[in-house]
Amino acid sequence: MTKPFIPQLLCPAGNMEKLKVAISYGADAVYLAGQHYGLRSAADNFTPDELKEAVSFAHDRGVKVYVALNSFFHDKDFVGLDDYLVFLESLGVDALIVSDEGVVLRASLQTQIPIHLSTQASCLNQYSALFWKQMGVKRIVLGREVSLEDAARIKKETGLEVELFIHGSMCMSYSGHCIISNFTQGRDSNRGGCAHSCRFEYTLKTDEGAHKTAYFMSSKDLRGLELLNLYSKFEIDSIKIEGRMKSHLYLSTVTSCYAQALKNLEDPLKLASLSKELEKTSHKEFTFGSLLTPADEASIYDKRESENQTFHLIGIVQDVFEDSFILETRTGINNLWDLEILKSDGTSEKIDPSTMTDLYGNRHEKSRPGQLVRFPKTFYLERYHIMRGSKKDETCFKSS
Amino acid sequence: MKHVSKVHNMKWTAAIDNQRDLHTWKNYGGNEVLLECQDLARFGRLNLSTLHELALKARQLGLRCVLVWDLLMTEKVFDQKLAFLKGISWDLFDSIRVLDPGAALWAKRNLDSMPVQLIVEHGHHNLSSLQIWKNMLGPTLERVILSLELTKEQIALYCKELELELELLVLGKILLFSTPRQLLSPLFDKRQQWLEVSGQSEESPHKGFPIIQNQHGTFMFNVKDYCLLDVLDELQLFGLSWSRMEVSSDTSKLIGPVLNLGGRFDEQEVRKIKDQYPHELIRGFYSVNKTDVLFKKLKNQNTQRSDDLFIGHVLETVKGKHTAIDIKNSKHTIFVGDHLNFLTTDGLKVISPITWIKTLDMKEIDQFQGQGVVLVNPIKKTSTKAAVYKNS
Repeated sequence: MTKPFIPQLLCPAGNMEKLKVAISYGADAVYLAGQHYGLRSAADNFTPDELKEAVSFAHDRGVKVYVALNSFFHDKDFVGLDDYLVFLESLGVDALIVSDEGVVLRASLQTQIPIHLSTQASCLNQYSALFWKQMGVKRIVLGREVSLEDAARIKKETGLEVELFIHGSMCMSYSGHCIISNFTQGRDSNRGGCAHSCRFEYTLKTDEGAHKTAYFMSSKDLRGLELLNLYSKFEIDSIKIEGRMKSHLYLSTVTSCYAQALKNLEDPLKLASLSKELEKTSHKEFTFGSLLTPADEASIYDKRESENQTFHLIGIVQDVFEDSFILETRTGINNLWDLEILKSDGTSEKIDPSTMTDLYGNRHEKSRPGQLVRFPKTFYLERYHIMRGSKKDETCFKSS
Repeated sequence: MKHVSKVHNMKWTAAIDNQRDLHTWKNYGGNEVLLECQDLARFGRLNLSTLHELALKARQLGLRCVLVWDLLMTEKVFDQKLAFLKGISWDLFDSIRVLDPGAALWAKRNLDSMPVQLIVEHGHHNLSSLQIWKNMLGPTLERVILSLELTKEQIALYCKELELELELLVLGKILLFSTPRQLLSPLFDKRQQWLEVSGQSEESPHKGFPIIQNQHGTFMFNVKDYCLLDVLDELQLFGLSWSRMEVSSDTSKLIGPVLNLGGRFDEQEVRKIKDQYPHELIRGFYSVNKTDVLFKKLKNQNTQRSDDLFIGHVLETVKGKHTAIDIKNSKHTIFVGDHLNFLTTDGLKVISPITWIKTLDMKEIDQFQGQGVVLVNPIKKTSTKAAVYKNS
């Protein structure tokens, strides 16, 4: 029996710490951006020294690094680009994610770095893909309007690698075709300034006097875990998790789930249990988007976004010793919490909050965010693993 | 002082969907019509039969006739449209106008010398990307329809450097957002094929965003329309070859006054047109585009890493006990006796000596190089997230 095709798991890295979290939980590749040219201006992004460190850290662990230069460049944005491209090549980055023809050309003239076409370019069909192939692109990150079946067809007809999103937030608009915030907020949504105008409530009126108030432009979150076997069947080269701005809890949980799912493609029970894991992060309702059929009204999220979640990020492991570990808390802890460490293999280890001490061994009944605390351990653990928790008496609570 | 000048050779195009406006367009000097059928065009209303009728009439009137195929298409939709295109009488059309890059390439390969007009309304805000398209499509590329986000400097540059017909919208709606999903049907009458509403967002003080839903999806426009009539003479000087006016039931009465500007620019006439125009008008980013200026303000600059001397961030301060530093930059070695700079999130700068260093399991060390969390002596006035630098 032939082994199933295993797509690459590509995870977001909004900053160095998140990169390390993603890698520790099983990412095959990470995508990130430098201080310029990316589409997430509010993310920390990577300084030149951090980029060097990131590539070194990732490559030491067999993980690839893709750098996003996917904003829509204006003429003045090309100043300094050549030097930056040469610098990236010197670091050994594994690919550039680009959306502009001019940038593709510069990149191919200045470097040998493989070029991936960003979803921002809204490449939806084989003819468009062939144009980009002629430009020298090696992989297409297809628009979210493309189904799994169409993605396979594009791959077959063009010979290009194809990448599809599998999890995370979705734009309602065709990628690269929304300029609402440009005109309403003076922020260029295609150069990193998107103000998420689609997630607000709108009042809508017809000429006949009908009147509705709704979150009509907000999309549910994509979740393709249950379709992973189709990603494999159609030999989608890379499955992409959205979320450079998302939390460590999201990143660790989602990465871990999909990494384990890819290892257990032929185990439906395992996939079902992983599906429950995904509920532990903050999310809107889920949809398959256009993965099977074109997204319809069922894909609209008609509520205000809020953080309904059962689990919260408690902290990040900062150091590990033989019989204890140091946690940097991100949420205050007390004995009202059920705590667990999410391990690399996707399982979790319960932690008793009453065993918490300060660094000096003094019992700590409670902690506040931003503290270093110590817990005993009897299991394997690494730096950048996360501790998550839920309140004992509430299965779900909200925060605005 | 009244500004009147002669504006030569400015050609005019518009989407027209009825015979009355077609005649008016011709009579006032319109050069070309864009014909939009419902199967191929985002805002098309014509069926195949009325498309051909109007094309024939336009030909008879001596107007250039352009078939608009401005959809973005997945594979399945592309297949459907290719089947539909088999029913087109190509001899009635002088050009085809496309948005999808795939459609442009398909047209070049399959439509036997039919000129292509390429809409690059999003992105393509640089000369390089436009030149690439010019090279890629060669003589097939007849014209490029430019983005509304360009400044006058960019327009002037492209007109000069590209040696290609360029077109700009000079009067009409600004498309802000488009999706293939039908977002209004769940809220209003699902049976209607064409829904129009006016929208107001809680985010923005603006109200009256026109929103259209049809078989191709949902489209949202800006509250105010785009108008470059004031600068038509300037555009002409730049060498812009084509201007586009949006013709609708609201604006068809302005065809005459607008097209007359093409022959003789007149400031007063422009003012009259604007007074009669049914919506507020803006010039958008024509004078300047500062939509990337606010980005620096999205972050606290005090917490942004500035390299060379950067060491890390303060993780924790415990009064009388320690300051914990997350060392991120493995380039530097920290020695006992060093003076470090601490920059708090409030911008307070503190220089302090390091009198001891310990690992997290309390082992005292003389120096530390690498990445990881270390404890040092308590540093007064510093706080969590303060950036730490070597003292130069």
